[in-house]
Amino acid sequence: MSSLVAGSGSTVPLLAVDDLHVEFATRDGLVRAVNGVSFELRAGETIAILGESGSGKSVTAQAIMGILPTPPARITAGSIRLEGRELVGLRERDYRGVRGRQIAMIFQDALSSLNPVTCVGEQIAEMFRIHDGAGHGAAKAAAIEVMERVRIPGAARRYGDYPHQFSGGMRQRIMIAMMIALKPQVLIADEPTTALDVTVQSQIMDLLAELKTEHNMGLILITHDLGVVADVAQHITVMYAGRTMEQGPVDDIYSRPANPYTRGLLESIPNLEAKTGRLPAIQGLPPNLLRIPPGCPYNPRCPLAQEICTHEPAPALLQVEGSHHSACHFAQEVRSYGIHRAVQG
Amino acid sequence: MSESLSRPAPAVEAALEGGDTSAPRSQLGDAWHDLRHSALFWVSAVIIGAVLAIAAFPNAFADAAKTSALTGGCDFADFLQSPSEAHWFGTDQLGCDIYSFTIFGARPSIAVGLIAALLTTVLGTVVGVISGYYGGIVDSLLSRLVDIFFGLPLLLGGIVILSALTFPSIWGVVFVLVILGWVSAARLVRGTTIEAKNQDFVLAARALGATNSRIMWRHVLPNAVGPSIVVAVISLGGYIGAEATFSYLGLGLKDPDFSWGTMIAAAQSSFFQAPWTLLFPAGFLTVTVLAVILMGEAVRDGLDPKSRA
Amino acid sequence: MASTEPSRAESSGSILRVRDLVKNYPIMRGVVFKKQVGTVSAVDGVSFDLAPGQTLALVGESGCGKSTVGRLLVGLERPTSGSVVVDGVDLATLSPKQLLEKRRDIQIILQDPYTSLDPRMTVSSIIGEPFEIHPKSLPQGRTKRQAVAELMDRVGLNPEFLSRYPHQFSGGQRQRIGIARALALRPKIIVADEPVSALDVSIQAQVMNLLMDLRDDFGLSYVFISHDVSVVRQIADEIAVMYLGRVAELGSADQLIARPNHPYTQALLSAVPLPDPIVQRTRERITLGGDLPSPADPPAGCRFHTRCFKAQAICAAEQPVLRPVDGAHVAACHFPEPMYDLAGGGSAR
Repeated sequence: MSSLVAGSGSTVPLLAVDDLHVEFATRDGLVRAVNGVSFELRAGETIAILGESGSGKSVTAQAIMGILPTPPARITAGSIRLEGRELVGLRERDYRGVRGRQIAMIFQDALSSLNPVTCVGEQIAEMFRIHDGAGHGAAKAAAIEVMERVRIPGAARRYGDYPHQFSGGMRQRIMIAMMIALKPQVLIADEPTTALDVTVQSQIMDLLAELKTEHNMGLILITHDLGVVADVAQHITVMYAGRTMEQGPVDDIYSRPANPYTRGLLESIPNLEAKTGRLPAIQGLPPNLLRIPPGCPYNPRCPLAQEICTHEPAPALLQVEGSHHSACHFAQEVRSYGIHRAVQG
Repeated sequence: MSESLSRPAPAVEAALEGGDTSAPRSQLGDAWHDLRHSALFWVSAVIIGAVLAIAAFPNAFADAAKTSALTGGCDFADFLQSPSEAHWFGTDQLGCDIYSFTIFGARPSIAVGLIAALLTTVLGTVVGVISGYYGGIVDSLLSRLVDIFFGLPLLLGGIVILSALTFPSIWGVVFVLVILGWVSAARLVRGTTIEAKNQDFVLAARALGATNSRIMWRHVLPNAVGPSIVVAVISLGGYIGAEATFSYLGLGLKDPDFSWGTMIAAAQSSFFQAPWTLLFPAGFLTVTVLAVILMGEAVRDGLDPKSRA
Repeated sequence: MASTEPSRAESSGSILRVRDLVKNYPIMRGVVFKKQVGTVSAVDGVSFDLAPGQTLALVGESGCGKSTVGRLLVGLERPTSGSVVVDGVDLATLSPKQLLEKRRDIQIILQDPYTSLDPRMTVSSIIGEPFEIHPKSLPQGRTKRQAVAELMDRVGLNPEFLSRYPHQFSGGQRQRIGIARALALRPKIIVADEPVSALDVSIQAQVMNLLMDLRDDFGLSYVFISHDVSVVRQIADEIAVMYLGRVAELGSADQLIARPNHPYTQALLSAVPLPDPIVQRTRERITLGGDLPSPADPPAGCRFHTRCFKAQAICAAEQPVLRPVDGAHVAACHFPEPMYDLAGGGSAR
C-alpha cells in the first residue's frame, strides 16, 4: 500500500499517511472506523477526503492532528509521517509542538470552536504569546496583521469584538486566522463551509486557496460535498466505511470514476443545469460500522455486485491509470462507462 | 449500458435493509441495560431492598411486643446491656431491646422519606411544567413564588412550623418537608420543560393541531421529568435524614411513635456508657441514606445518554 | 400574461394563496417589566399562489425568512398582517375549532430528523398521533395500527418496526417517519422545510424521489423550502427567491434558473458549487461583498442594495416592487436584466 504517490515529484512528501487503521472500543463492540487509508500531500497541494457520515474521513483527520480520544480510539496500524518524521506513537508533549505550528485544523462550527467570553483579537494574539513567546504589543500587532490577511474588514477596529458579534462567514475567517497564525505547513479543514450560506461558502473556499498559495501550505479538505471541492482540490480520496474506495486526480475521478460508489454519488447529486425528475439514488444505507458486510463494504448497495464482491476479501486499491486508483473488482469496466448525469429530455 | 448501471430503484426500495437491527429498546430500556452492569447499582439496590422489606414487614424480623414497656416487652432490670445473644443490639435505659426498636423504627423513617419525596416531586413537577410551558405572566408569578420558598432555610423553617403547629404521627415532618422541598423540583422541571418545549417534535405536534394539554403531558412531561426523578431519589435520602434531625430536636415524632431519629435523640444521655444505643440506629440511618443517594447517582448515569461511550 | 400579480394571477384554481404576508417579532428588554425596544422584520410582504399538484420552492440563505413563511402557513405562528387562503378559505376568518379542522389540509415536514421525533415515543405512536388528534381522519374500516403500518409501507419503512424507537433508525429512515406523520391526515398541501439538508448525499436522493412519488400519487402540492438550488431544481415547478424577508424574484423553475434577472438570484446561482471541476473552474462567478444586514435594522429601499453590484442611488431610496420581466416571471429590481449560463455548462452539456 505504499506505492500511492499523489503527486509526481520525487522528494519526500510533506505528509504521508500509510495504511492507517483506527478502532474505537464501544459498549457494543469494536468499531473499525478507518481500515487502511493511505495518501500523500505535497507543499502547495490541495487534496480532498470525501465521504458521508461514518466514512472515517473525520477520524482520519483527527488521527493526523493527534486529537483522537484515546481511549476509546486506538491507532492499530499504519503510519503518519510529517516530512519523514513518524507521528504515530509520538508523546503528547512532543505532539503539542506539532499541532498549530506544523499542522493546524479548522472545524465546521466556528462558533463553538471559539471562546465566547474572550475577544477574538486576544484569542489570535494568544497563539503568538504561547507558541512564539511574543510580548503583548507584538502579539496584538501580529494578530491584527493575520486578521487582515484573512480579509476581515476593519481588522484593527474589530480586534476587541467577541465571536457572537461576527457573522458565520466572518467567524470562520477568524478560525482560519487563528490556525494560519503560526504558518503551519499543513492545514486540515474539516467541513469548513458546511454551516455557511452558499454565497459565503465560495468566499471561504477562495480564501483557503489563496492562503495555501501564499504560504505554500498543504491543504486537506474533509467534506461530504462533491461540489465544494471540485475546483479547489487537485487530488481526492473517496472513503466509504473506513476504506479508500477511489483515489486520484480530481478531473479524472469526476469525469471517469472507476468505482461504483463514486459514480453513484456523482449521479445522485441533483443537477442545477436541468430538471431530471427522479434522481438515480444509491439504494440502501451506509453500513453500521459494528457490522461491516463481508467482502467489499459497498456490495449490498452496489448495482454491479457479483458473487466475488461478497466472497473475496475487500478489493485492494489498485492502479487504474497513472495516479488514479480504485478498490473495485470491476474498476476498468466502471471507468469505461463514464458518468451519466441525466440531462433534460 | 449506463442505464443498467444506475438501476433507479423505486423509493420504497430503501431503508428496509441496514440500520439498527437490535430489538426495540426505549430510553428506560437503555438505562436498565446500563444499570445491570453497575456494581454501585446492585449494592445500593440490595441495601434498599432489605430496608424496604424491614419497613414493610417488621413483624417478620422482630417482635412488636418488645418495643413497649406496656406490653411487658422491656425488662428494666436489663437496662443498658451490651449486645448479646438475647439482645443482638443491646438494650436501652429502659431495658428495651434495641434490635426490635431499630426494626420497628424503620417504617416511620422510610415512610416520611418516601411520602415527602413523592409529594415534592408531584407538586414540583406540576408547578414546573405549567410555569415552563406557558411562560409569560404565569411563569413570572410562579417563579417569584418559588423564589420566596427557596429563600426559607429548611431547618429553620421546619423548626418554626413544627413548634407552632401540631400534627399527628409523621405528618408534621412530611408537611414541612413538602412545603419547603417542592421548590427545588419545580425549578429543575421548569428548566427541563423550557428545553423540551423548544424541541422540534413539539413543533411537529402543534402543527398537527395538538392541544396544549396534550403537548404538555404527552410530549413535554415525559422528556422533562428524567432529571427530577433522579433528584427525587437523592432527596429521599435527605428527607430520611431530615426526619431524624427534627425528631432529634424533639419536633418530629412524639411518644409513643418512634423512629431512628427519636432513638438517636434518646441515646444522647447514655451514649458514653452504652455507645450501642446510638450506633445501631445511627448506623442504619446512615447506610440507608447513603444507599439511596448512591442509587440516585447510578440512575442518573443510566438515564444520561451523554455519559455513554 | 403580463399580470402584475405574482405568479399565475388570481386564478380560482390555486389551492394556496398568500397575500402580503408580514411577520414582525418584537425585541423585548427588561426582566420584570418588559418593553419593546425594536422589531425584527422576518417576513415583509410575501405573496404567491400555488396550484394543485404543483410545487413552489422558497429559496434563500439563512435569515431570508423562508422558514418563517413555512411556519406561518401551517399556523405555527400568527402573521402580523396579510392573509393565507387555503383551498378558498382565509385562515384568519376561522374559529379555533374550524382552524383545527383546516389544519388537516396543510401539514409540515421539519428539517432535523433527529429532533423532530419524540425520543420517548414508538414509531407507531408518532405516526399514529395525527389519528388521535383527529379521530375522524382514520381511514374507514382500519384500526390505527393498520393505518400506521400502511403509511410506513408507503414511505419505504418496514411495518414490522412499528414498536421501535426513533434512535434505532438512521437519519434517512427518521425523515421517512416524519414524512409518514405529515401524510397521515391526507393533507392537500405539505410544507417541506429543508427536508433533505440534514441527510447524507446518497440518502438525499432517496428522500427526494419519495417526495416526488408521493406528490404524484396523492396529488399533493408542496411548498418546498430549501437553501439548495440544485435540490429545488429537481422538484419545483416555480421558485421564489427570498432575501431578508422579501421575494426578490419569482418565476417558473426553468426560466428563473436559465435567465435570472435579479442580481441576488444571479449571485446565488453563480455560487452553487457544481460537481464538475472543469465547468467549475471556467464559469463566471459573482462574489457578493459584505455581510447580510440585520433583519432588526433592514436597509431602506431595496434590502439588497448594500451588497448589490448594480446598486444606484434609487436603490437605497425606493423599494422595488415585483414587476414582470417575462410573462409570469417577476423580479423586484430597479434594473432587472437577464444573465445566462450561471448554472454552469448551460446547453453545452
